Amino acid sequence: MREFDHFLGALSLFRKFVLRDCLHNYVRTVITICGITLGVSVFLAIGLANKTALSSFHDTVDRVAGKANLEIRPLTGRSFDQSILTGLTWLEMAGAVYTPIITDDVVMSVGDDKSEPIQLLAVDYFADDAFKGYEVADSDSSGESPTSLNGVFKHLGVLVGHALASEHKLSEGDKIELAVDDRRFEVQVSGVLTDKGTGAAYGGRLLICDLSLGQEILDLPGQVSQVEIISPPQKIELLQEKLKSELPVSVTVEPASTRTSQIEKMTRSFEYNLYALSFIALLVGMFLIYNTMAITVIRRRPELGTLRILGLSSRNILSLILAEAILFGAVGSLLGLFCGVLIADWALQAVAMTYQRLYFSLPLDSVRLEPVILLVAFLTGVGLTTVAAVPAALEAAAVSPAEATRKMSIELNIDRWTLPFAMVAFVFFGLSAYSSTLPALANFPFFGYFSALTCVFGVAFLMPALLKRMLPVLGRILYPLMGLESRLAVSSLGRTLGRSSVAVATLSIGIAMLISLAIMIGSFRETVIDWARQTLVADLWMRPASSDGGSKNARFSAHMESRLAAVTGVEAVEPWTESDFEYAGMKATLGGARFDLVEKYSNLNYLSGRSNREVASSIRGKSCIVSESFSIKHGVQAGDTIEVPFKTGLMPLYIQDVYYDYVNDTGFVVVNRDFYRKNMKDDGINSFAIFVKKGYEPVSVRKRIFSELSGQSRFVVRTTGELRERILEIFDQTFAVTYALHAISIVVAILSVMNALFALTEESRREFGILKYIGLPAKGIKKMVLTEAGVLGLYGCVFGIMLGFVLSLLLIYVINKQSFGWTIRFTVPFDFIAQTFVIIMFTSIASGLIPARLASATQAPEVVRSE
Amino acid sequence: MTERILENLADERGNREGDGCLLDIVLKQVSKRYTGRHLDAVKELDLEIRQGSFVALLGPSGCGKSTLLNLLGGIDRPTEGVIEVGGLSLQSMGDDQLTEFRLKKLGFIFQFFNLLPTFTLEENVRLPLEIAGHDRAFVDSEVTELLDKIGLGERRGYLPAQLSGGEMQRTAVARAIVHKPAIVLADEPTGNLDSENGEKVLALLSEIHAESGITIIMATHSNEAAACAERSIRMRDGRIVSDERNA
Repeated sequence: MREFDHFLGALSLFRKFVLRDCLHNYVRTVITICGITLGVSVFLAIGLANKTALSSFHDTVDRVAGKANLEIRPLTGRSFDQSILTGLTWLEMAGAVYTPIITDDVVMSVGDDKSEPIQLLAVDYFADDAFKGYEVADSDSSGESPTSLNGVFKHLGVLVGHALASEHKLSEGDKIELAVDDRRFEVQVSGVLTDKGTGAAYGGRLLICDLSLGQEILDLPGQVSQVEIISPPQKIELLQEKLKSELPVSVTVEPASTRTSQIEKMTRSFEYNLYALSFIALLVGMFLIYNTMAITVIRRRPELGTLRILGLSSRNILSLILAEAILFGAVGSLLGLFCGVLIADWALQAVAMTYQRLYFSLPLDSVRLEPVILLVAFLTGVGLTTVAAVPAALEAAAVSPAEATRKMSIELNIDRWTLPFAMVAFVFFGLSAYSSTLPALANFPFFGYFSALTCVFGVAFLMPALLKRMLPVLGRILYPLMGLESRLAVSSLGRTLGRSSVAVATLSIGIAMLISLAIMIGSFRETVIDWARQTLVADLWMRPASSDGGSKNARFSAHMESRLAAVTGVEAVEPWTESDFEYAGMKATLGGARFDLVEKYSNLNYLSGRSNREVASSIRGKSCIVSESFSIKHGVQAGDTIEVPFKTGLMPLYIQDVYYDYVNDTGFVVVNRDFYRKNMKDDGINSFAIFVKKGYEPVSVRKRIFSELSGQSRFVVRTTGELRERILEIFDQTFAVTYALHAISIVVAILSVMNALFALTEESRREFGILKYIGLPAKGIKKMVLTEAGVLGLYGCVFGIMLGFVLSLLLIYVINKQSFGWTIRFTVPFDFIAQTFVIIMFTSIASGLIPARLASATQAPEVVRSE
Repeated sequence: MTERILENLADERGNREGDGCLLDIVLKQVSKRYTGRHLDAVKELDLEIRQGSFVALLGPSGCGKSTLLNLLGGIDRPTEGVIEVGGLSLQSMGDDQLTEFRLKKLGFIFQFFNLLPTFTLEENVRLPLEIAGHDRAFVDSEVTELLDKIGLGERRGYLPAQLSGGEMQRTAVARAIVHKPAIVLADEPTGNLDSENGEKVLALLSEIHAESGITIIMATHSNEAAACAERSIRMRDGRIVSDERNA
């Protein structure tokens, strides 16, 4: 009972001491909660988007695999010969059942020259019932109850996924036009799938057809892309071993879950980097909390002293302040959950394109609300808020009862701590420098981020010393220009060094994040532009229409090369073919190029500095070049030999050189086209680089290509200028989410400045009163507060830009390199930095408008009397 | 440890009740020098204050009155010397013990009232009893009785900002005595009040002293205020220059 009374007493004290103060200082409360809300919502939105993308993939793999616990997949290319099946009959003797399937993406025409990528799943309708994870809705009962597969054997009949059917109002008998490679193919709806089992794979945006029709549609005669096996559980390992020993090395036998873990491994860098970026908003939010709580403790020091005199222990005070932070954290995080869910769909759309382009083709329509992610976001918000409040809470707990009769001692404390803080700052800088030299941990640049974080903390700790030196300098500069008010403003900031430092540090960190990202993205963009200018030297670029619509494996047939070469005005045609393959458990791309043409026309850049002509002429037979990201990801370099799976078996390839490439982060291995065709048994061509004869305009040659070839083939031809634009468009879409995340960090940082100004204004009310007494007009006080805001903004910008430069070096040379393996040439977007400077200065001064109005409205006699 | 000391103090009170020397305060050669200062705020003080006394500490600003009060309240620790309350040395107590000591045995009154601005008048007064963990019914009855007695019952729901200076200081007095401490330390209790309100507060202190026998030690620079006390101790430059019984 006594404990209960104590609890009620503590609750009552919390209500009176904390809650009422929060309500009384509602502007500060709202600003603080907004900061936490923004941080948590961004963190949650990115978390939900990432989780949705990966769980959609996981879900689809599960639904397609159904009860299968083993699958045979090609290690290279998209399919393998179905003759393998004839050697699998012994599986039935071992109690296992199996069925072949084909999966691939095709493009569906949806009218008005629009198209969308969908998945085609070709199955054996006569397979064991255990594989039939799909159901067809009864068209007479609104698709509620499944019926048998009536009508699916109609010629060109396909079953349509429920989402696709409902979006395009498809029903039995409707015709669907598909773009496959450079062809059109018309199929007919035989039924609509329910949203259960396989029908819900790919978000219900799929077509299921018979295996033979699938082979016809995809032009894969005698080929399958997977064999699903249901093995008795106790025999899985045994069967896997036996299959591995009997099957060609160009295929692999793994549980279906292996693909999920493989994709998780592949996307890890992208996923974690997104998390790290979203974490920045939370980090800036932490500084805001620290700021708020430190200001609270400074402001309420005499009250805390009084509570201590009245008998409250330092532990009670510590709990009280932490409870206040937890309250802020809980309210801000709850609102953050709400806002995060609202913006998660936007975040998903922002990252979906990158996932789809780089890693897997899946529709990512709407986020899945994962309770675990919600909980993690909430706990992260509350946890970080609490951690950020610990220094202020410890400071509050250390308030001596004597403080009841004193004021502002913390500012003296900060002053005294300036030197030790500076020393701590240099320890952080040392740690930062050292950790920047350490390698990645499991392909994640942990030490790179640690280095950035310690650098940020270093600047935060150095800030009091910096401001102590720099404020008087600025005061001397401003006084002749702006008069007395500027001197008063600078001196006021100097006297409250503690909170000024926190405000400037918070703003600096927000700005530094933005600047560093801008430098990194700007440098990356310039590098890509340079790379495109040097590498994309052909006049025209041609690829199948379905490829432009999102189909990854779309190909021209081999005879297109000679037909294209025969078009008037075409000097040379450089074909390119590629296939995915697995290397060291990760996906990469195997490319086939005509190096005789590369040598003559193209201009690849190599890490060794050797000329394109020299390297290209050396690629013969079992030699190759690899992209920089492949080289870094797998730790291989020029002179090494790698074993690559071809259809004909594992081939040792000698790496002639490593070339710069920015197409994807999974990496390329490029061999001579003849070698590729022979060993991949693949004559198809993914794209052509077309060189136009002198005296011919590329645009007019493009017209000729269309007029001569479009009768039999559907394709897209871009000029090099258009292709470069397209590359930059994709680049900008990829980084759109990054800019958005950092704009939010800046908003949080500006809130911090506003917060500091409110506290400063409140704390200086007596000073304002006295200044009014001695004749400073309200306009002068307004000017003084606005100057304070401007000075905070100015130093925030100056230190932020400097820190931003350092962080950008870490991002470019450590974090990016370890995550994606791309070499980025350092360039500084001066225009962006200048714009940021102007915007931040304007926003900082604007954030001082309300505090300035409050300060100028101070009633002199009232303030002085109350003291 | 804390409880043992406080129990000792309580036992002592029980044993010596009636003989007038309960919780006597004894200072032996007490000096206090603040960090970074060259002079002692109080220097080599020897002083004895008997339980139930009403003592005024007089002297100009900076003479060491407030420092002496802080030392007596265990808020500051002496640089040298010994302070004993009821025979127990304050220096031997840790922070928690001093907190407990202040909670149970001391009441404080300040020049600038130091009321908690987010607490109503009544909530400010209730606070020491609530921190001590008394049950609600007890707190209600004690506080109601006290507020009615000092004439603030009708303004119990007001926030400090809504009160006059005199009302604020009377609230502070109520808060200082509501838990029936043995000693009340008052630092310039009338220093921020007009003469009328100052007199009211002094009258209240005298009444409390007369009724409850609480030791009151009041720092003041006013001779008129000091006249209310039984004993006046004059200080200058951290030393006692005179110690007289008032007529």
